[in-house]
Amino acid sequence: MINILQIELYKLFSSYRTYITFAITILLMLIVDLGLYSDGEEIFSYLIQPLNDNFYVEGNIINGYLIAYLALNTLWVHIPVLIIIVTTHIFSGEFELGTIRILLTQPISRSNLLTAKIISMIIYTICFMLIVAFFALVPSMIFFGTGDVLVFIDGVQFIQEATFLLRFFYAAVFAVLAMIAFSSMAMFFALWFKNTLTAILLSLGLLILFTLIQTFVLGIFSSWQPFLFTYHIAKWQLFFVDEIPFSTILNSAFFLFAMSVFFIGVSFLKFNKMNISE
Amino acid sequence: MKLWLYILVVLNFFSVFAQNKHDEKINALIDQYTADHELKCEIIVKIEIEGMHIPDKKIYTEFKKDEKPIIKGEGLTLFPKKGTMNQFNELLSSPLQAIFLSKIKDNLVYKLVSLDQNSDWITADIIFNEQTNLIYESTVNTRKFGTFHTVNSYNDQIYPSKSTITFDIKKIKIPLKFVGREQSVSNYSDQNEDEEVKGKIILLYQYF
Repeated sequence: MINILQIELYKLFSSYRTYITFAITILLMLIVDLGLYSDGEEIFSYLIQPLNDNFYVEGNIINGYLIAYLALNTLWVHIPVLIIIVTTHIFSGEFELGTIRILLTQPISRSNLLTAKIISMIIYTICFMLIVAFFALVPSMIFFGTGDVLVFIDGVQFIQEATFLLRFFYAAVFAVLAMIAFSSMAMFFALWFKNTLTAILLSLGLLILFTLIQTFVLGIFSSWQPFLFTYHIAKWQLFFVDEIPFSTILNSAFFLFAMSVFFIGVSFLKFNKMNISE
Repeated sequence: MKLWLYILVVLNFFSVFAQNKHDEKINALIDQYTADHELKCEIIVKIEIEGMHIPDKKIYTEFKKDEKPIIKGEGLTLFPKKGTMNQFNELLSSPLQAIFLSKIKDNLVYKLVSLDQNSDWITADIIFNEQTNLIYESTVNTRKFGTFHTVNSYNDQIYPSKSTITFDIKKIKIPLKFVGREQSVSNYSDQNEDEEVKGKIILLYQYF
């Protein structure tokens, strides 16, 4: 099992694809920094105009913590897209190259092989999120300093500087769980269709569709929200609410965990009964 | 004819006197609040505005006459522009007409009308103590920012120990791209362009 895992990790981390996604993420974070450096003051002055009319506002509004928080908004589309490009390939790549047939003629169980691939997927997701967290936080802290964070959730929240890092850590951990759930779904599609592109398209299609339903809650769609994985993925934002609603977040974490377990379980059933000669 | 001239002169004298001459009470109040005080204090600022979650802050402030106060505090600090001690200075420094309205125990109620076309405030109702010349309550109507109602409490100084300011503030309009994904767009579709919400600020002063 350990040997299979080592091989899977070697394959994962010797692929250009893996490092390209890391590089794009770093670039994304730097673009967020650059954008807020050039226009941040103007945008936020406009947003808080009513406050400026009535108050002297003192302090560093455009600070590293605010930028790190805004950078986390890439969790919505950009990060899932980049993650599944790699994680679907972990599973369907073997089918596309035909190496799965050779692999399964070796004296290893299918369950062990799939477990190794799932662990690789989880390790990749954790590495990816560590890079996101590091590059969202550290360069912006160095260049913009720290300070209280203005967050536009449920009105306007002033998040105190002292509590920010812990909230950010919680949000990053939650994001790892969310991305593992999303990757598990993409993995299932990859195994089902044995094709990376189809799996990516299906996963992204669902992400976009659910996002639209969730964002434009109209009439009958409102009752569907709790069944949308995008609704639960978005709950990382609640860590940046003045009083963190842990029970709501735990419900969503449980949904995402159950979603991961479901897709991993179904993938095991599918993979173990799969006719590889097809 | 001469009699009419005398009457006109006398009437004119009284009307000019009425517009420009304040009674002693108001003069004493103006003297007290427009004196060149430099004040340094710590203030605990509690802000309650509908739709905003702003933590209480302790800030250090220096007030100087005719200058923007110096404000120092940790992180982002908000300090009200209206309703603080320097507002009374600004109010009573400008040309005004004071109209006595009533007397409630030791307190006098006056309406002040700004005679300066360029000043932001238009009218102000103030309640102040006849003996101490301390303003306990005021309602200031401004041109741009609506009405500010202030209630002051005092300990043993001429500066308030506590001020409670209530006002209306335009609701912050959040562009769609800044709306948290956790929220749906429909929650924002009913945002009125000029919708106002109630605001309340409590200032607790500690003087050096």
